[in-house]
Amino acid sequence: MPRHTSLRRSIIVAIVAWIVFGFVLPPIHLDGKSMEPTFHDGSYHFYWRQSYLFASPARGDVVAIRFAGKKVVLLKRIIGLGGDTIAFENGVLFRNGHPVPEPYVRFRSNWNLKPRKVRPGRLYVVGDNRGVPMSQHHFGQVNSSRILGKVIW
Amino acid sequence: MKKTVLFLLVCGLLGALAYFFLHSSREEQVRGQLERLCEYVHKKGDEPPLDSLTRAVRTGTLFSESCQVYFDNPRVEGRLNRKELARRISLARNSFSLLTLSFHDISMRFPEDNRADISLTMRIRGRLRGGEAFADVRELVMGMERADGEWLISLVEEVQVLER
Repeated sequence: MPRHTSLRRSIIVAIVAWIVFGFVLPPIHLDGKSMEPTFHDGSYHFYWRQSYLFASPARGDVVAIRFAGKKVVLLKRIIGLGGDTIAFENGVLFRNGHPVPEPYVRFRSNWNLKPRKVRPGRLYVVGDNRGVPMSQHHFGQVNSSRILGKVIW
Repeated sequence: MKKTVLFLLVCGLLGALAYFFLHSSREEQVRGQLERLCEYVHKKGDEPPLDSLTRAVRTGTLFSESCQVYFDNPRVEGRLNRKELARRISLARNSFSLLTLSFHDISMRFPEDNRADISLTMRIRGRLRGGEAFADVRELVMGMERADGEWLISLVEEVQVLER
């Protein structure tokens, strides 16, 4: 194969990889146990940046949430949309006054949180690992503009 | 006519270069101070008390005499002096056997010559004295002011990303 063809191919592969992994399917390296057992500490995943271009975030979606930028992100599950009322009673999630079955939760401790309404334009997110004390778990309502995309793998 | 245009072009180019170098040098200085903070807070195992004290004093020198602080959890709010800040950071360090502080996604702007507004993600990882692993991420807004040629932290405020 001529050298210039090989070089051209390498450049094309590099550009395609840059576009795909930079703007379409960015990779995430998980550091922490807040999404156990669905996602394990140290594992790699991808989120789909365009997932909410034509659709709205839905309850049950696992999403990437940005902080000041996109290098360090949070991975959480959406359990409530704007207008929903969220509460925890003895570790069981209550949405709009009804208990919600959560097959993805395997570690559950005695979480208790008084009912609170999710404000419009916000989403209520929490990790799947409820085995840790509530005070040590990052969860709550987040502005939907911070959602970077849905985790697809 | 030609000479005037050339002169104006050269002046414009020199001005742009001067702005670029001054700006990047300010940014580097601010980043340098943040790196120093990470370095002083870092802990890689048990250290002699004198080392802890030295690090606490050095950490204090990165803050202005009076610094506005706001953290949601643990709740810290108000103006703290340099000594008090160093004392609190030192106390927090003492509860860890291993500790790493890092800053990511740093963006900054300079509304005035001697003032920098910074937005960043702070990441803390380590091991508590009890042996449990510790990891925390916060978004912060920081303010720095230049005094006697040195950039000092005058504001540290946590941005509430998740609200229970």
